[in-house]
Amino acid sequence: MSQPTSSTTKESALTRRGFLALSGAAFGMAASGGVYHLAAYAQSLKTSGPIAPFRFVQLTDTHLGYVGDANRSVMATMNMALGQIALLTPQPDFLLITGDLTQGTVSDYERKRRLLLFKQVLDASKIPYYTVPGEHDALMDRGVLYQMVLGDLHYGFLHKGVQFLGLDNVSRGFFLGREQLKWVKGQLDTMDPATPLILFCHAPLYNVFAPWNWYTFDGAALRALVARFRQVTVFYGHVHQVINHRTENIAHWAGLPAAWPLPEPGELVKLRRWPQGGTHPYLGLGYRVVDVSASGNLQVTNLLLSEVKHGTALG
Amino acid sequence: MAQHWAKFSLLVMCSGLSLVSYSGVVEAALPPPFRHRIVPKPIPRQKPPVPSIAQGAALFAGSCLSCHGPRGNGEGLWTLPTGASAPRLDNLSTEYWPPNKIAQVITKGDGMMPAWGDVMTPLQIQSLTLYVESLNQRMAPVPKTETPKLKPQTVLLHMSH
Repeated sequence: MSQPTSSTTKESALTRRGFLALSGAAFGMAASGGVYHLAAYAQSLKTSGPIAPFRFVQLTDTHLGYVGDANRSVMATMNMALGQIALLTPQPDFLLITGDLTQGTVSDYERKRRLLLFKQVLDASKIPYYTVPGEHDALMDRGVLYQMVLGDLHYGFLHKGVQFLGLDNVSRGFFLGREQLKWVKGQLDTMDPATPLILFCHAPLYNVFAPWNWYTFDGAALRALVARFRQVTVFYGHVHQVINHRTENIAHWAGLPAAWPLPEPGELVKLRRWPQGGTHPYLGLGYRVVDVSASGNLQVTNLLLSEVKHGTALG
Repeated sequence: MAQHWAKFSLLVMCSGLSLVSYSGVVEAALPPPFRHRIVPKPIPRQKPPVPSIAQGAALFAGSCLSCHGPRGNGEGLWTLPTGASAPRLDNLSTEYWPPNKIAQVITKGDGMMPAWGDVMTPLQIQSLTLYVESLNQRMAPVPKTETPKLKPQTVLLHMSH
């Protein structure tokens, strides 16, 4: 009704409110400072930019150069897969080939010849491709010839807002090693955790079955490095069958082989491949189509070679 | 007035001191009459890790069994890329395969044998060496019994009356 006239009331009111206002302002400043720092930190992280939907194909374990009963023509099977992939609509942006490109051999000359042959076939397919070594390509010489023919053993690239990291967990044994882990840490440290992350390597990054070497000795160290990322997917080969698994924040996907299938793990027996059947020559062989949506989610489809009739166009 | 202040500050100091002296007792959760019975908790003796055959066996099962076989006789469960099999580990003579040579091959690798030194600690490699030695019918693999040097640690004085 009337303004406070008494100086004492005014003073006391001022002290209380003033104190509240002051503390509020101080808190606000501190909070805004914090927010500012967070924002600056977030800006300093590498953002991958908006994701444009795209498709890629995982092909694995082509074992070019193999001669034997498990697959009587690895080259024909590989060409069949590449032919089907070429007819996919929409077209894949690239192929991700997760190791064991060639069959292992003692001879350096032969290994180089097989790797060059693989490169020739892939170059002729006119689809861009990214490869990582398998133990058949790299264990004998620790990846020296692989590097000469196909390039780095581990590397990263950004494609339409998705970060890819190709890893080598085979060339020196079934582990990544301290140096590579350090490199991965360097790559990831400055990266925005919202970036969809796709890792591709040959051997699984968790222990599928160690007695058959289906594991990575220091896989846990890598899983810890990617723990803060929201979308992490691993595409690997080596096990010659589809295995899906989830550890913490990571989805692990093993791809269908292009050469021969292998039995499911579990029995403590020697790992053997079986002869290619006359009635079902493409049993368990195929490749995988991955569609990345604008939100970074993956839609994964496994396509068996046996499901596609010869001579029909795949649409 | 000044006397009051002095008394007051003395009171504050005394209460502070008593609180400080009591804080240790509170931790021990013993009533004051038994304060003299408080014996400090013994610090567990610092035990430096030593290589063991058990650790070696676990590592072998995880990383070596696949190629060298569960018995270490070269009958592995996984064939090497070249189709060859890994060498036997149960016929290593003491003469040609002294422990340091076994450890060196595990660390540095040889041919398709991985260089485990890239990922394993020296202690793990020592344990593996002990285990590989134990696969052979040679001298009983006795781990070194001499106590390794302890790191200097803080010495706790016993409160006793």
